[in-house]
Amino acid sequence: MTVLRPSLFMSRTRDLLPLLLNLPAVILLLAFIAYPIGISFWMSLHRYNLRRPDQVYFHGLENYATILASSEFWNALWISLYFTFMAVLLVIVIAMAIALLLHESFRGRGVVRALLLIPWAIPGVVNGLMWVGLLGDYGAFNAMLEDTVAAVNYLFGINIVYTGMASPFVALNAAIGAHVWRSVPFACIIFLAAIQAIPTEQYRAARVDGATSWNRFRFITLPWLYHAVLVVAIFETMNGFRAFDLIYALTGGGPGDATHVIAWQTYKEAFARLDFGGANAYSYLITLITMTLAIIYIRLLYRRGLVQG
Amino acid sequence: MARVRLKNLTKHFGDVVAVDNVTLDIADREFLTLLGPSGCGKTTLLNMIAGLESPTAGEVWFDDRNVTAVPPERRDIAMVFQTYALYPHMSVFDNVAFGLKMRGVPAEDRKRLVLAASKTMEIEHLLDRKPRALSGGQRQRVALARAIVRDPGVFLLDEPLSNLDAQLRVVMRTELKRLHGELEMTFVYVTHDQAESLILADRIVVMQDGQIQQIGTPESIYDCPANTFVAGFVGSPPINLLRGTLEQSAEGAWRVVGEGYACGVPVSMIERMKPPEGREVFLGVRAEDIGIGEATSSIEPDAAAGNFDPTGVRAKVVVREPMGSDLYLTVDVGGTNVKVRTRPENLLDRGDNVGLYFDPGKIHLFNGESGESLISES
Repeated sequence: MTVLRPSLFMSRTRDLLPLLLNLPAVILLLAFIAYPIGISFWMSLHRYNLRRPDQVYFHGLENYATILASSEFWNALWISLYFTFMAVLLVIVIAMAIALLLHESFRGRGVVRALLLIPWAIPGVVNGLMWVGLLGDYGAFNAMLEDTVAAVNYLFGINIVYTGMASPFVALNAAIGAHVWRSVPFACIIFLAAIQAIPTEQYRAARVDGATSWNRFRFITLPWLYHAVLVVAIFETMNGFRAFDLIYALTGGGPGDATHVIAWQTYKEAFARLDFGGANAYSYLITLITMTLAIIYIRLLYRRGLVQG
Repeated sequence: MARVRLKNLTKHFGDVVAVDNVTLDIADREFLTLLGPSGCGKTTLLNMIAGLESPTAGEVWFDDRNVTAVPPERRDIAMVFQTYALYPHMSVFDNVAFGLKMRGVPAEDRKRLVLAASKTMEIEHLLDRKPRALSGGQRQRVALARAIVRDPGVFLLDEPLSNLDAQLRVVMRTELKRLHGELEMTFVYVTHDQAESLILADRIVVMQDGQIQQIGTPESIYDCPANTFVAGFVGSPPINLLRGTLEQSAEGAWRVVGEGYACGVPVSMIERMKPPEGREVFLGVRAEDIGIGEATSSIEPDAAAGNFDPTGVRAKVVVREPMGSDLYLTVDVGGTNVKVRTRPENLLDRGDNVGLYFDPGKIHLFNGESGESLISES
């Protein structure tokens, strides 16, 4: 690793070359990452509503106070938490199950592994639009759900009203489903790589020790995957909290505020209400939340001593 | 305690025949080593005894029980792997206790048994540690403790010493021999190290290309190798093999003559010899059975060899390799390199011409075509 020392600038030109070669990347990072981060924080401390361009002024943490006092924020936060929790849980369980299946050798495994990657390759908006097609009034999934509800009603003599995506419950969980569908491949690849790194002798030793297949999973596979599970959890938590493109295309935040995840709320602040100060404060709150979660996860990783220094 | 019998055991991996029709009877409490170069099928054979691989054909019997279709957990075996295969996320205690736990042994008994096993293996002070905090030798001890804690009938070891450094290997070798003396278990031990095999085994099974080449005690394998493969594989340095022709003199005495050498064959050996198919033979002679010129006058011409001159080996020193207690000379005999063991005081060096004796009583004769031994075991 290169360490920049003050003396570097005074020493031989040979030492300047690495700096020069890195300069374009440094400039780009400063312009497109550091500057926006800085300016958005600065804006979040201002009253900055494009509807009143004449009244842009610094007012400290006012935006944050307003947000924390609003029921909209808490609603969005709870929806995001539910969305993220369900997404992380489902992604881990489904991806691990698929990874375990794909680890077994069977005819056509290579093809299945390649097919698995397709959802991952689909852009979020396209994924949303695809699920609109599946879950919309004329969608195949919608029809299946409708028929299932009708059959349940008939069998048990009850009367559940199915309203499709107009139902807050269906809309939110459908959004989670679509998100999970797209997120599983990546997690699956991480799990598959981790499973393949487990030495086969571990399983042989466990079999000789008398472990059943469940116990081999419980005592060998799972502990070996602990690291991978945490990595996937971190990644999917971030992803869940930032989910926006899918919501935008699939539900547009509705019905009502049922799918107002926190990223959607931020978008609304900025582009519907044109309140850039508030929207930037929202962004910073999302950052704070995800960062806190990430720190917890990373601490877990280190506490188990599974990260080799 | 268990007697292990393998009946016509065969294993195919696709088109590859890993183990080819192996029949073997391993006595209760025997220390048996499966010896051979890598890829000879010895580990596959061990895995079939363990139940980790199912045979393509043939049967495995433990005592009077056909266990061919019995999974490893119900075979009353323990196994030590080349990489030890310790569970990295468990403490040493949990590693050793795992097999007991899986078999539903109550916690109190588990503790007692684990302590006993770790006492045997001298790892009591390591029980709280994780495997990664252990040295190679300590891991090896933990792996052995994990295997003996369940008091299995058959103890299977797959090259357990090959990941250790040379010094530690010697220590653990002694340890294993002590363990076999203390425990009433049948040991089946896979190795590619012929020295390990000679030191540890009651009986050695030499394998090549999935087939058994020879079964016997270390002494019989070393002294009466069944073919040129066994002769060359067992013993360090490998046996010297020289092409030659078997000849009989007018008086009826026999000798082998080859490029640059002639060596008498004693009558006692001729009497035990299968009728040679042709006159072409391989003469095998070990480095320690070769005498050098006047310095080793103790090797006298065998009277039974008749009137041939047994000193008729002309050689030239190519390499001199001092090994402390011994000196090895590589000499050229008629274009073939021959290793000779001699005393370190010997001053012969590169380029010196020297006359050699092949000890007629210690030579081996093999069929020049098939490499099979021409001498039947007495």
